[in-house]
Amino acid sequence: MKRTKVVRFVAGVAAIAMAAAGLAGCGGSSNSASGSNGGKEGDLDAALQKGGTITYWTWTDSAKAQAAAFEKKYPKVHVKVVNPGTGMTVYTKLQNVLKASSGIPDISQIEYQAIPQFSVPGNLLDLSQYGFAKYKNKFVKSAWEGVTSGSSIYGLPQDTGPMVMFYNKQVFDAAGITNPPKTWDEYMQDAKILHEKDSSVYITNDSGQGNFITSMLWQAGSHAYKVNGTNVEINLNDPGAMRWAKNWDYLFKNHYISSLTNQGTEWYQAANKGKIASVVSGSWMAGAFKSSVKETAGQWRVAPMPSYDGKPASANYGGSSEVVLKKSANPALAAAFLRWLNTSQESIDLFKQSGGYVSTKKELSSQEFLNEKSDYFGGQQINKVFLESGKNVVSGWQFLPYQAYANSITMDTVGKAYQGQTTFEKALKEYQKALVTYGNQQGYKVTGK
Amino acid sequence: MSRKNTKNAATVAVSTGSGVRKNGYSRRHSPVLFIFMLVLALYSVIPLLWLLLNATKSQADILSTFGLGFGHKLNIVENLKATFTYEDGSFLRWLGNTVMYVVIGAGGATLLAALAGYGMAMFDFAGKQIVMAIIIGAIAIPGNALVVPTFLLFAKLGLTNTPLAVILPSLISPFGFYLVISYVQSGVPREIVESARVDGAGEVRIFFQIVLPLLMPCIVTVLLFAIVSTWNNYFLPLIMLNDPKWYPLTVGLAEWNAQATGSATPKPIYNLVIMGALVTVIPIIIIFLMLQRYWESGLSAGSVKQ
Repeated sequence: MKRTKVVRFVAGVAAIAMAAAGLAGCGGSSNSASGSNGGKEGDLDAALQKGGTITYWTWTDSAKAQAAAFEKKYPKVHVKVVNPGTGMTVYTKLQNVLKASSGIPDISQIEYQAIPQFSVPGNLLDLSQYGFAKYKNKFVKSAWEGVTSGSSIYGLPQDTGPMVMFYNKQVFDAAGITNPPKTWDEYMQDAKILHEKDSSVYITNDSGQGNFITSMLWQAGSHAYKVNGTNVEINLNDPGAMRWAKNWDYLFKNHYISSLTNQGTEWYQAANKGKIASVVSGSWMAGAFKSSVKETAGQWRVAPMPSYDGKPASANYGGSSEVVLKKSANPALAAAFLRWLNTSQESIDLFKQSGGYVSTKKELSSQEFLNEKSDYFGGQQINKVFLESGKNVVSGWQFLPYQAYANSITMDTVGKAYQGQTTFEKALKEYQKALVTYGNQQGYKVTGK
Repeated sequence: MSRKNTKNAATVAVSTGSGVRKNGYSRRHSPVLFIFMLVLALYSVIPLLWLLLNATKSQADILSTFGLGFGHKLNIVENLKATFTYEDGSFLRWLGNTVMYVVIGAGGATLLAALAGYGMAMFDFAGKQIVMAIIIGAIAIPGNALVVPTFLLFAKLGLTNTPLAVILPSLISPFGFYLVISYVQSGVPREIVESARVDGAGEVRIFFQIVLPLLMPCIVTVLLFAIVSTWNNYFLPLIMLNDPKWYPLTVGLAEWNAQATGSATPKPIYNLVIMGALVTVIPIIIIFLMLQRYWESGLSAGSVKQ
C-alpha cells in the first residue's frame, strides 16, 4: 500500500522532470529582429586601429595560419581561433550558446545550407551596413547567393563545392564504356552494364546523407523549398524532385547502387579496390581522393555531373562562409576581420595552400590555376571542370530555415526507399510531412504542397 | 564474498561427482547454451580485436586491407607517436582532462554517495521518505535528458565551457547513493555504531574509522561505476564545452573522426582515431580487471535481506 504510493509519487516526479527537460530542450524560436545596427564602412578601420579580442569558431584547416597573419598585420587585434567541431556539431553549439546568451563567438564558419537557420531568426549581423555589397562581383554567383537574402548580406563566402562526377576510368573501360555518362539516362544504362559485368562493382554509392539528397534535388531543377521570411512552402514532389526520384528508384530497385557511406572506412576500402566506379560530389572531394584513395591513383578522372536533358546543370554540395553573430560585443571589429579573412589576397592564398577550393572569381579563373595538371587524375586539368560546374549551378535554389535539422532526419522517412520498402516519391512525401510538422513547431508558417 | 564460496563449493561438487572434471564439465552443459555464450563472447571480442589489429596499420592499410588481418607493414610505433604529437599534442591534453574529470568527478561522486548514503540509512529525520522518493526518481531519469537544461542553467552562472561544467554534474550519482543506503542497511550493524557512540567516538570518527572500512566493497563498486561513466561520458562534455582544450578523450576523438567527412578540406586521420581509441580503452580495462572481484561482491550485497 505504502509502497505503491511511493512508486506513484516517484513516477510523477520523474514525469514532471522529463517534461521540464523536454520544454527547455526544444524551446521556441527567438524573436525575429531585423535591420541594421547603424554601422558604417569607416567603423571597420577605426575598430582595427583601436584593437580588441574576438573569437572565431571554425573547422577550416588554415584558420590558425590566417589568424596569425591577420594579427601580424593588425597587432592590436587578438583573434581567438576555436574549433568546436564540424558542421552539424557547430550549429548545435551555436544554437545552444544563442539560447543561453553567453559564450557566443563573434564570428563563425557556417555552411551555406545552414545560413537561413540563423539569419531568419535574426541571429546574424547584416553586413550591408558596412558597405559589403561592393564585394558582390568578387565571388562566384552561387556563393554570393548563398550568403545573401534580398539586400541583406549575412556573411562572406569562403569555399564552394560545385558538384562534379569523379569516375574510375579503368573500371569504366573494363566494362567497355569509353565515355563517361553525359546524361542521367546514360548513367542508368552504365549502372546496369557495370554491375552485370562484375557484380561486386557499383556505379556509385549512396547511404542517404541528407545534404547529398538536397543537392541532387537542387540539380534536378526542384524548387522544393520556397522561403519568404518565416513563411515556408515545401513541395518535395515537384517535377524536379520527381526526376531524381525516378532515377533513384531504378538504381535501388535493381540493386545497381551500393549503400556505403561516402568517406567512411568501408567506402575508402571499396574505392581503393576499384569497386566504386564513380562518385558525384563537391569539388572538395578531390582532396579526399588524393590523400586516401591511393591504390587506384591515376585511374580517376573528373567529368561534369550528368544532367537530365544533356544541357550542363549542377549544384553546390557543401561549401562554407563566415558570418558575424549579431550578439557580438564588437561587431565592427568582427566585420573587419571577416573582410580581411575572405577578401584579402594574403588570406585567400593561405586558404588555397591548405587545399581549399576558393570562391573568388579571380582565383578560379586565373590561367595558372586552370592549367594546373593533377597527376592523381591522370594529368587532367580538373580545375577547369570545377569552374564549369560552378558556372552551371542551377539558380534560384533556397534552403529551409532549419536545413541542418532537416538533413539530419532525412533517413527517418526517405530511408525506407533506400531499403526498397517504398518508392522515393512516397518517401519524399513522408519526409515533407515531417518537415512541415517540425517547422510549424518551431514557429515558422509552413505549408506543404 | 559469500557468492564466491558457493561457486567454489559447486565446482568441488561437480569435480567429485564426475571423476574426470574436464569431461564431466562439457557433457553436463547444454550445447545450445555453449553456442549462445560463444556467440556473445565473439560479439564482445571481435570489435576489440579489430581495434587492436587496425591500431597497427598505416592509414593506407586501414583503408585498403582486410579488417581482421594485419596490414602490409607494422605501423604501431608511428601511429602511437603521431597520436600523441598531432596538433601539438591535443591527445595528451585530452587524456589529462579525462583523468582530471575522473579523479575529481568520480572520486567526488563516490565520497558524496558514501557520506549521504550512510546518513540516509543511519539517521532519521523529517521528510526522509520524500528525499528517498526523489532520489529513486532521479535514478529513473537518464542523465542525458538533463544535459540541455543543465547547460542553460550553467550558462546563467557562467560555468559553461569550463571544467566545472563537466565535473559538477558528474559529482551526483543517485545510483551510487542508493547502493550505499542498501549496503549500510544490510552490512553495517547499528549496534557497532551505537557502541562506538557509547565509547565516546564522534560521528565523523565513527564514519571514517568504523563504517568506511565496512563499506569498502560497496564503495569500490560505486567508484567503478562512477569511473566508467565519467571516463565514457560523451554527451555532457559535447554540449558543455566549445573549446577543444577542455575536451575529454571521447569528444576529442569524435572530432578527429569527423575530420574525414567535413567538407572544404576533408582530412581523414583514421589511424590516429583508432590508435587513440585503443589507448583510451586500455586504462578502463585495467581498472575493471583490478576491481572486478570487489564489483561481484558489491553487486550482490544489497540483494539478500537479512
